[in-house]
Amino acid sequence: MPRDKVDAIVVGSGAGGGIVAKELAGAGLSVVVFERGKKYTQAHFNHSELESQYSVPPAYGPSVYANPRTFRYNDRETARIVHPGIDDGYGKTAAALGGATVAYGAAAWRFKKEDFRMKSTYGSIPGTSIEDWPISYDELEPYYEKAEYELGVCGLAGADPFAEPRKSPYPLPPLPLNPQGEILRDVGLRLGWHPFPPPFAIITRPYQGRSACVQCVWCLAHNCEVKAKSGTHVTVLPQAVETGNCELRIGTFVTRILVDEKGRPSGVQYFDDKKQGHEQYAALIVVACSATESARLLLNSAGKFHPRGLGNSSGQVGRNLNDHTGADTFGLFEREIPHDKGPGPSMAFNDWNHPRSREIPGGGYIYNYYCTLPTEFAFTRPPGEPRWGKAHKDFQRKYFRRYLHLGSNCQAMPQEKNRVDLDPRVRDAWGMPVARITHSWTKVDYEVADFVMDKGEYFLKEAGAIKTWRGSNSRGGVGDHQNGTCRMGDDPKTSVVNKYCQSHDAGNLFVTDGSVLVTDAGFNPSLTIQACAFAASDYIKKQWAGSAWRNGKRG
Amino acid sequence: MVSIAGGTAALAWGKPAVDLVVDSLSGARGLRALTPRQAKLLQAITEQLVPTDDFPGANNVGVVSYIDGVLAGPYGRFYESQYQHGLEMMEAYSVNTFKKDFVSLDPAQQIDVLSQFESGKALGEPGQRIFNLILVHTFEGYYAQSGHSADGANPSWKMIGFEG
Repeated sequence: MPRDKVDAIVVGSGAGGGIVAKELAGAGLSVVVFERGKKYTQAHFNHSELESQYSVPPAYGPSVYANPRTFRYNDRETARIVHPGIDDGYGKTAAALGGATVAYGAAAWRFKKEDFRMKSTYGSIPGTSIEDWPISYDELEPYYEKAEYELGVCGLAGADPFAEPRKSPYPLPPLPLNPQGEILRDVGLRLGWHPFPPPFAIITRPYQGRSACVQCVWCLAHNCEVKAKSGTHVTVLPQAVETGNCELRIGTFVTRILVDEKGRPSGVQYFDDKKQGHEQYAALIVVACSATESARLLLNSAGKFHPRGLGNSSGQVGRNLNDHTGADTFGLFEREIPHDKGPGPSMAFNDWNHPRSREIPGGGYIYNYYCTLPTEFAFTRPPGEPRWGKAHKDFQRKYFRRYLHLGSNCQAMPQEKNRVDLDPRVRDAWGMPVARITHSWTKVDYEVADFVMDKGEYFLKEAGAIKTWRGSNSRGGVGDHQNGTCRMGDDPKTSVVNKYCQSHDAGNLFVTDGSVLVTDAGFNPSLTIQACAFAASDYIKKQWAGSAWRNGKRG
Repeated sequence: MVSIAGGTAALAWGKPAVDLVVDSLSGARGLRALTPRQAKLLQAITEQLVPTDDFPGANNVGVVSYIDGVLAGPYGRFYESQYQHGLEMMEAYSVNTFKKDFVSLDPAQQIDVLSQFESGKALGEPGQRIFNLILVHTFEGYYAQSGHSADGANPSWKMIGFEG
């Protein structure tokens, strides 16, 4: 269907895309949002481990057959075909209206100052592309606040002595304590650690017409039954549509960004849900498809003006693909620790996130994990414990309610060789080259995770666990926290976007998702992605005069 | 959406997403992907993975029907050849080791065969892969499927004290 040129196209309706759509539509720009996934409502909610983002198929996309990728650990291997939910290494995030925020765990952290200054803090680390951000915590602080208030984030200001200063309290009080959290608080204080309630993009009181969290145990990997999880599909996207300036084209797949006769981004080529091809033109193009898909889209938009890919004069598009290692620890107890009150995490520690000793570059938080579910627990056993049979079944009955799982996401080091590029052979259902993911962890990543797991097991023993064990990391592979493929920087030779998420190569092209993270902190990335998206939106609102930039910037 | 062989139980929550059929110990009904022989072998295997004790085992709660449903469903093609070859491998290994097919072995022998597949002693990595695949589907059918059972037909949640 031919359409008039609009002011802005946003590709992807997730954490970052949803915010930019709302901000620009609210400022009077005409916006079209393209989203390849489906819209999921509160009817799409089943209390079932068989219909979650972790099951086959992933309940919130992407669809299995249409969207293969290829994966390898390093350049020496041939990448093998992988499908979402079926194979390790796929690196999926949800493909849905709301993106990953439909089903995520909603952790809503602010990064620490050191996270924006990793190279200055820890120096060069050989074999990594550790670098400082072009933006500081102080510059991003007002946008963190904006994200917290506009979306609805709960937490307790001042409770974490390691958190950076903030101007305003959280808009909502923290999630209520549960028995797991009480253990973290009591034992943590005894050990001289600093327990505090972690922040979540979950509303704990009625907020903006949505009702409060009911503390079910299904939060992680499911849509929220009561809209208490502040995903973009229940917050900024409906608000964007309400302005009258924003159109959502759900079930559409953008294959290429188009450029004009001067090589300037001018629109997108896309397919509708009937596989009909169309073009949509716009003055501004905002890409927010996840670190894997945004890089892939830019690379697939190569042409005579941009032979290496759109926005890729630096050669860094797709490079520095990163994610978190896990540093989970587990303990069995003699007494029952009921876990019926969700979502789960109600206490956390940042003692091992940039510890002052600087023993490790970064680290991560520790919190009590999301409520245990039966099948997940069936796959969780200490080393040496039977994985099936009578003894396994007895263990399941005995320990399902006598178990504590400490979760942790540790900062990993970006590496240039970890990357997304276009697979030379495999194509998707629309005939486009698929993303080829090359990713493996490096030695320092395992060391950091081990350090934090040492602390976790120590804690569990001090809490009275009769047995403790730790998780392990695979050789590589990214997932929901993927980031880094269009990193921010001041230097166009070594980065893809500037501090406002604006492409160095094309002033009307922005990337506003996890791709822009320079380093990935020991924190879940969503709130930081959203703060950067608000900052980018502010820049566009102030500087974009409809066809040119007020500040005289080219493009 | 996971598809399970046609049945009767309605869902407790929201719109019905899957149907459930419950096996009886005398045999599976309504098979769509597995042959009766494969289903019988899988019943014996899964019953060792989650045996009946004072609580129901895999055979009482429709695990083989669940697996049949996965194989007959839209994503079955990712698994069907693994099951085909894997079940043949297990059968051949039983006969080579104990001179009897798996279903005819006594429980200790069945457990022995499964342990050999799990450890890789039987047939190396391919043996481990099929073992792990059957284990994953067995636990899904046993522990996760309870969410779809409004009439308590799958009591595994009650067994562990999970309210859902």
